[in-house]
Amino acid sequence: MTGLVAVFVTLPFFLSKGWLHILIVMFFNMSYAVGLWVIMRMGYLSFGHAAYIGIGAYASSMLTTMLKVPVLLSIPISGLIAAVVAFAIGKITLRLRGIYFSITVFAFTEVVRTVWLAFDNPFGGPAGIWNIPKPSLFGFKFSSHLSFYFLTLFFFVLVFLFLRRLDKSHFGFTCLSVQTRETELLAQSIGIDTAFYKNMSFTLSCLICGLAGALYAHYFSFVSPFVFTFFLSMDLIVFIMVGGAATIIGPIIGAGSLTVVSEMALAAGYYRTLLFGILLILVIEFLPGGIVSLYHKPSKRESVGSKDERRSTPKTQ
Amino acid sequence: MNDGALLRLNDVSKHFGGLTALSDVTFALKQAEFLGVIGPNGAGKTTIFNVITGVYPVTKGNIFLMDEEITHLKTHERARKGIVRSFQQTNVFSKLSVLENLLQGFHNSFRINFVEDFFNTKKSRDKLDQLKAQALDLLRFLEMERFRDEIAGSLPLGIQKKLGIAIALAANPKVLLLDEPVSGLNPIEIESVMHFIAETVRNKCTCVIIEHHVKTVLNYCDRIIVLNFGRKIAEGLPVEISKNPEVIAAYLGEE
Repeated sequence: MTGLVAVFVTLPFFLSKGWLHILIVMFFNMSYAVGLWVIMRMGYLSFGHAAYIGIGAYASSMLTTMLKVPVLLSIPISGLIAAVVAFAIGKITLRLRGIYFSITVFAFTEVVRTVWLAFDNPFGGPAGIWNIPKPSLFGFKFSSHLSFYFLTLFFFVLVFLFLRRLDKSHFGFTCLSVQTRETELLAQSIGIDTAFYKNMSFTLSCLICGLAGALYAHYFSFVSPFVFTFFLSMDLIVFIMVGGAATIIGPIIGAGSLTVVSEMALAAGYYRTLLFGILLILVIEFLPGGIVSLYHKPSKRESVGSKDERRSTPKTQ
Repeated sequence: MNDGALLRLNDVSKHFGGLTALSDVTFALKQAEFLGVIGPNGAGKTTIFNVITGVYPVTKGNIFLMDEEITHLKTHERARKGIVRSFQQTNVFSKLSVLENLLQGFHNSFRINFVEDFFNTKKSRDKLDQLKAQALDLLRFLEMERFRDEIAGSLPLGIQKKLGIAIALAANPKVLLLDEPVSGLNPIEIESVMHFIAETVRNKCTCVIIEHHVKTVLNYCDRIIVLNFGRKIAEGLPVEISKNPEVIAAYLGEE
């Protein structure tokens, strides 16, 4: 662990701008992926997290360019805005299960995108918002790639440590009782307020994505409706599936490896989506536990699926 | 109203669109008795449990737990008041270990605020250790200690059924509703699980059981309610039920 920290702290000083950019994008993707993982591990497949990333990004862009709010203040405010929207949407959609939930949150993403496209004022329409200021702290401006590298690394590590602790808490343990409709009923019947745990997890998931999205806006200094599309939501799901959804390490490995691959294969253009699609199919077919399941032996918790057949003893009447 | 009944249903009806699943069902559950609910398929047995636990809202009627009306409470709120059920199909958290399953059952005993829980303070750790000890006690008591680290989904069905009941017991129920606890089991397992319920579970709480195996119910229960087409057609001691002509016609057949 300390070795890893040492590498990520010293490495950037020897890297070109191009590589720093790739690593910065990687930290963004890792943050989105662990954010999405919070709700995905509860059995909810969200096709709509791009909306919350976008809401965070747009909110912070508007706060800083129009109201001149300091960047490091507007980022948390924007994250909270995304979280509030997510709380309201979650209240309605989390009652649904499976594909119904996925489709509903996807529809919301498209609604949000349409609003950004339709209103030149204040959202900038199809052209989006540009000239978004860089963050600054005590007179230091995060304008170089190197400084942004450390800012995004710091953000990601913070999110990671928070979620890892949450995962080990009793709260995180209780969340495991909600994985399918059936176990949710079981959980309710022993007194667990499942709606509360689902709402909180979805809100937290979108808060993380909103915060990361806000930071993203200040890195690129530009947001437009064409950034926060269905393809972004889909990428996040691919990251988690390829890395493995069982633990928090999976999404990080998935996002890390795929970002580097896809940024290097930038020349491939649209074929990138094709590449991801094929990869997803291959992983689901041949490595359901994701890359993580290659390294450490599948823990008991991950290997359960295969033993399920044993349950079905013949029914007697 | 106050006649010492633990749970009382007053004229409870449940309609699904045009379909009447329950109509004007009234009964009272006494403290410490073992009540059986029987009836043919589609008679409304599971619907009664769903209505009592609040999975479905009632169309009409009232439900009381010790003279307190609970008709409009949510499922988890009713569970906290002491109405806990076990399920026919998914009755355990199949991806968690046996011990973890019981810890989920102890959910409402945790009572530590989020900040203390998140920072894993001494108070929170002590509470968790205490619950683990309680869970182990329960496992020992149920003679299931050797399974503590097994993944619930990989256990034999008979053990899973017992674990399902154990989770419910961990939630500290006043009334335990058992939905076909022996379905899918072989005769030896049926005997073992029923014995477990009659000898062990009954000492901890009042039980209501839904069952297809009429003989099993007649053997073990104190009192029986017979449902047919959502109506209560008979109520009484097992001997009375087995001789009731209406029940024989509707359900028991020539036996």
